[in-house]
Amino acid sequence: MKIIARVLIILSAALLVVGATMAFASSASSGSGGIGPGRDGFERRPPAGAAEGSRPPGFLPGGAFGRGEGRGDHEGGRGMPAAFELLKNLVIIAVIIAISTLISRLTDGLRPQRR
Amino acid sequence: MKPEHRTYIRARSNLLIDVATFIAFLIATAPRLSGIGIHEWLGIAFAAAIIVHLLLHWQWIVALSKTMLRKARASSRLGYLLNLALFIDVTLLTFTGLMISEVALPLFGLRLPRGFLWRGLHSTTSNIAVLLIGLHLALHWQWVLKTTARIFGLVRPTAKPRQEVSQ
Repeated sequence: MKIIARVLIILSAALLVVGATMAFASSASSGSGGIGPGRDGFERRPPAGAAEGSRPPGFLPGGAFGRGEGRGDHEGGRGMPAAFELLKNLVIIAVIIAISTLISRLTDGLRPQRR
Repeated sequence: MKPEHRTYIRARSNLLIDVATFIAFLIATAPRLSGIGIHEWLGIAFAAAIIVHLLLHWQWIVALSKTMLRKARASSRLGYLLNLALFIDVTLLTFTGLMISEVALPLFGLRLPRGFLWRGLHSTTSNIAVLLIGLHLALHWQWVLKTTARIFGLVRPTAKPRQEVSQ
């Protein structure tokens, strides 16, 4: 029972975040006209005869991926080995840990010893 | 069961869950490697693992939420704010992922209109998540090292184990 209550609290907090984002997306898009994110972030239908080039790179009509391309910007450049994405993120995280550990050791060394 | 042994088992379970969650996250950040289906299901599993992670550290969350504006140490406050940012980011990452889902939601007969805003937000939150998870790991790196050393028997368990709530 306690666990269910805690899960509900977590889900409620997540719902707050989602609600705020939806509200922000709605208000941000209500002012903009023409093609682009419409209500709730969904794409407005382009005018008849619009060029296919208006589509973001990496996606084909119907949601299929272009050959050798990924989903969005964070998947790395074209022609890059797929495993590079994973390695890149691993290296970024390792560098963050290394830098923070170094800073932590330096600050610990500078801090006066307590008696 | 002795209290120190119970603490050891709990720390070991926490570490194993955290390592599995981290590996799932890493693989999920490489959808070209895993394929879109695995990417989406791993993302959903990652969100569920985050809920389990929060439940396991519930006492720490409650304790620090109560003392956040009063007596907490600067490092604890920093950790708290970082975790809050990470929660918001992972929530948005999961939500935007569901909004642009091409495999998981259609399996249940749900097809949402294409939303480029969600797609862009999904990419941005994914990049931010890599940085925040790196910082989150860095904050608890000493605990990770100590628990790993204890699991592999590199150090002997101390007589007075550390309180989990201080993690």
